[in-house]
Amino acid sequence: MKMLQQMFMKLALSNQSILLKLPVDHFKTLLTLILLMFSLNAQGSTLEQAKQLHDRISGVPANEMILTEMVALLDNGRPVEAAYKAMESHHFYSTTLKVFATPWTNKDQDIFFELNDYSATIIGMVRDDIDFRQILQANTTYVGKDEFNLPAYNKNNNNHYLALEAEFINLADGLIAKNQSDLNGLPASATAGVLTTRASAKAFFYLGTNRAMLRFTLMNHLCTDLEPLKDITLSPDRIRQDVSRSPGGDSRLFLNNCIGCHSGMDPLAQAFAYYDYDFDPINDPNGDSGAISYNPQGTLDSTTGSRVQAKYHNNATTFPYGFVTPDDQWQNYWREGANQRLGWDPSIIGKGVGAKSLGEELANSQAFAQCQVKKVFKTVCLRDAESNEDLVQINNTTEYFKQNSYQLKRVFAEVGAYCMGD
Amino acid sequence: MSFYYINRLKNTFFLRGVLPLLIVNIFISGCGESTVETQPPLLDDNQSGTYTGPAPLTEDIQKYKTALWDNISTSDKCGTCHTEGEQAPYFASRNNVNNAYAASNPLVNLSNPEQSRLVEKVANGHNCWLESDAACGETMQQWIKLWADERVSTANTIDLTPPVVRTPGSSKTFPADTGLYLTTVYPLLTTYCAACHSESADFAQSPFFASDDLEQSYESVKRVINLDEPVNSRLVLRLGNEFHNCWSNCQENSNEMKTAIEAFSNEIAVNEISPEMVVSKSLLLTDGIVASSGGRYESDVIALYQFKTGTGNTAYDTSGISPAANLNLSGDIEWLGSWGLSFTNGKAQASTANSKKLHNLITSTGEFSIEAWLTPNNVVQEGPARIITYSAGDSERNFTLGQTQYNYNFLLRNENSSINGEPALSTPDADEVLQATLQHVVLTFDPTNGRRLYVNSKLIEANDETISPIASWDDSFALILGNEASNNHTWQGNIRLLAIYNRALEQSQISQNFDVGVGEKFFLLFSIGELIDLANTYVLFEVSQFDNYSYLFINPSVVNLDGLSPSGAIDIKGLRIGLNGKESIQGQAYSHLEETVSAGQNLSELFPLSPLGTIIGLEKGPNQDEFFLTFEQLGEHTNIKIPGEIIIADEIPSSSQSPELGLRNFAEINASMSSLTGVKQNIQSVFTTYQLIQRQLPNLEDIETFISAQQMGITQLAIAYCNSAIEDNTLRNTWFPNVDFTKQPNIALDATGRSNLLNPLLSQLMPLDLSSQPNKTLVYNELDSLITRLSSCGNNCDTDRTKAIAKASCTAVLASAVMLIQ
Repeated sequence: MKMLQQMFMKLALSNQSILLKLPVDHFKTLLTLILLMFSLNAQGSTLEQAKQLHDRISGVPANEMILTEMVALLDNGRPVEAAYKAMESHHFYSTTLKVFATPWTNKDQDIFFELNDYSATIIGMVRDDIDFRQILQANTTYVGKDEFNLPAYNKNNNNHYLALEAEFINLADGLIAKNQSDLNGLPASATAGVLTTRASAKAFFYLGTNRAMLRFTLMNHLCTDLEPLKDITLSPDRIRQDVSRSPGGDSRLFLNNCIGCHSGMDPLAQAFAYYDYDFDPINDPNGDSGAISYNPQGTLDSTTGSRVQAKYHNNATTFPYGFVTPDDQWQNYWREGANQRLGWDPSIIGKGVGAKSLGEELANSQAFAQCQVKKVFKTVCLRDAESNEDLVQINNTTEYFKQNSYQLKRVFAEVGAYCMGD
Repeated sequence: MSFYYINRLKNTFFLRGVLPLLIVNIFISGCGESTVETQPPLLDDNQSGTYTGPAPLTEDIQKYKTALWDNISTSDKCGTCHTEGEQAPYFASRNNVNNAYAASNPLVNLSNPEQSRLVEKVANGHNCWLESDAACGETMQQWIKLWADERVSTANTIDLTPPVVRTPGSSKTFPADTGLYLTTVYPLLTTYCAACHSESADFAQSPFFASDDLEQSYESVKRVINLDEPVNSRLVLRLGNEFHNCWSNCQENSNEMKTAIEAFSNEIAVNEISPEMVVSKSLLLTDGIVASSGGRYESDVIALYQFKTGTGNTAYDTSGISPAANLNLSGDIEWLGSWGLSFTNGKAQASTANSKKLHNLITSTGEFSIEAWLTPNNVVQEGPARIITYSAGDSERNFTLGQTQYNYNFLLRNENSSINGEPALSTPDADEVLQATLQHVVLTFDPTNGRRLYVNSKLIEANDETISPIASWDDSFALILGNEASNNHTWQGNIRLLAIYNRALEQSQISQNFDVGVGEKFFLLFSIGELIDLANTYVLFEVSQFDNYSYLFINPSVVNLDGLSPSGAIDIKGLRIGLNGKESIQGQAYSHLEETVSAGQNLSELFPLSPLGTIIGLEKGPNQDEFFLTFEQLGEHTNIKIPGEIIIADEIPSSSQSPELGLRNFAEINASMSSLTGVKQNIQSVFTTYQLIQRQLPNLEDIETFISAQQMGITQLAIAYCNSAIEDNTLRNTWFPNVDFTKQPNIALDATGRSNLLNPLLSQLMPLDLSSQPNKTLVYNELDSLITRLSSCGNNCDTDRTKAIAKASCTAVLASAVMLIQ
């Protein structure tokens, strides 16, 4: 606290000129108000709980009427309903969920990133209480309603969503679900929820080898990067030719490091073998006017001689005896060994064809369900689990989430109630 | 220098002329194998004068004379003994080359030069004129190849013969931890061997098993210790049998070393093969059939380095083209077990006199090629870092192959270039052609096509814009690998083969050499005959040492050496490679294999099992590592693997203790201000300010990350919102119906006016009385004081000042923790 006071004092003395014509007196008052706040005791009653619940869920302060209603619900021992009351604010969608989903939609995990079809689809699916596992499988994309006269959805740019964002259109009411395949031209069977949105393709199918799509999906939706998944004992039989078996002339690096991730990653990322992000590398090197592309049945890539995109055969001479991708049949090697801990669903077989079934495999894991709860916990409680009680809450909410059709609003409500203060 | 070594030298003619010089060298270096090439080196001149005998009778004899006889008949080689009146056969006769030709014919195999008697003899040490027997064998082979020319067979047929039958036995492997080694063998090595076998020694001699760095020492010593039979460790044999730099009595020293290794070995548990496992017979790498290294296109080669020697300070030019431009190794260079040199901070340099052959032979044709198998250590070195250079220093060169990050650079002195060979031809930046992995790189030049770069047999699209003939080459430059003559441009990486030609190779020739690959390959026949009741049936693998740390296994197939076929179908599932009594943990690329050899399948030809290859970690070295195969199913035998149960550890909560309070993030701040003031977020002035300061606002909600710049941004945005609210007639009138903003502050904001301003303001921005919010009375009083101070403007107050004070009061609350904290 003392440090904060010193910081504000320093601020008051040194940065007056930045305060656009604001009198020094005004700044002193501002400072006093800030310090007044910090000197408060956070202890409170249901009124304070209601305020915190509303703040954390919708991101904005509640007005008097809403607060009063929430207090009544809390006083009646109905905190989950109070949380749902807070979710009636459109800011829950336009602000909280927008910020919640935005980092998942770009490689830099930039929270300031523009609204796009990936984040809009997340917001829409939460709003409509769609089974959240569908985010990785559904033939669905959310767009702005026609009544707003926005630029139409275009698979070659993000103008539709930029306009939606610039107008601060109420996303609680302004979004509507469409068939993704009608928007981007993919066969319905080739759609896989947010994975096959334009934003996702631009971020994770852009150049490279499509492994990024798997890695970022793991990070964003199973809450793990590849490093913790390293398992050097799995068979390297699906590791592609482009991975050097002797980086810098030292095969120990491959045997003790590279193999640990690639053995499991490459057979999973094979699901994306028919996808790419098409753009003009000369005139549009950032791919701002690019679009997702997919090799449907009957297409033959000139490099691979199959439906597999050329990028899957990149650097084939690096290790000619590596795996040559023939199709998009993926397999989950992590169902064996240490990565069983991700909790794969025993009712599905752990292998399949294409992105949709891979999405199903990932979304039905325990890690997926728990990851969503952890992300909500972080958003609402402003921290990770810091006690066993926190972990118990996360596990209980995860189980409830799974048993009740994976409705994310309910997760917000439960976790919000847990973190609304004493 | 050991007694043994001198004894051996006495048997060579080399001793006669060179011994005094060598002894001087020996005393300087003090290390058994660290003799340094004298500068300037002895020229490889014909020691026997001009031939004056009968002319060659046929064209082939003329070819024989030029390619082989001129080289071997000299008095420093075979010519001293194998001449009339001395030692038969007289294939080095200087009286009559035609007779020598007749005597030579039984001693050579023109279709397979490596199988020639002449090659075998010198390669096994029979009066080898070089320090390396292998280099003598290679050179002799090359001379015979030059004579044989197109008669050399390029057919890649394999003559498979049954290997020795070994039963995979118990075996020991080096423990991962160095603790045991530290207390047993390491002390002896650092005491008695560190003067040479350490990187920090004055005359550093690879391998560095006496390194100051324990880990480095441990890695190196694995190649010279035999855990299963300590008495056969190289460390023991070198002292006891070869009298190599003993520190007192060789036999006693050898015993001391053996005892230390036994102490080390005795503490290591033996790997036992489980009886349930379905295993093949086992093999050492050296039990394999050596694959023919033929098939390479090597016409017009003028310098060839295969780096097979494995030890010492000389890398031999075995092209057979005199003079041999042998490379003197200096600095931090390691030999690779897979044939090659590893450059860390060293260079391999030929003498300027011997390098001159490059100048002479290349300028005579006006074209050349450089072919190399190399592995850059990284993709950040630049300069260009000199991989292979024929130059005199930083600014003068005939040619250079260099590295600049992801690019190969080809510098060449020609009519239109600078004397430094610039401009360079480089691989395109965007393509990132150079990778830190084994690559086959070929540079070609001819006056028509100019410079060309091929990587992994693919022509790189990079146009040579200054095509012009080679000109002004300097014959006083030196061929150098791994650095510049000035030592200013170190390159880090491995070179496993280097060939220089005085012709531009064509695409087909480059592809041919790329397909052959590099290094020594063996065919290992793992016997499975007993398991499937079909004698002489094997699983064949092509195996080579991949680098210093692993073996490459490729092309598994089933074969029967008697040409028999199975009477029933044989299922093969879950093939794994075993090493020294256990299955290798990593690299089991065939563990998902499922193949069936059908009944009646012709196994006289290879029945392929998989197109995949894999690498298996090296443990004790190619002379000791024992391989075998295991199967989950082979015919009727099964050993189904049951995956071990995974124990999932309980999750542990984070140890951090976060405050209960947090900040609103940028979007929440914007939305909150809009919500509190009723001003829409898309109002132009607000929107513009938000866009401007958005990234200045908090992006994390952790209150401990709050910094002063963020407060500045929040205040600016609050001003924008309050300004819009107060300037908006509807909002202002709704918000403050009883304040007369047309009056001066002292009137509009008198005691009543202030109450009319502040009460609605606080009611709007701080609804209800919350204990988690600032005390309303305190806030009121603070704002009241603010208004008092701001209203003190004498008699000249503008009426607009009233609005300004209202905006300031609004901002003071809106930009405060009242809004910011959640």
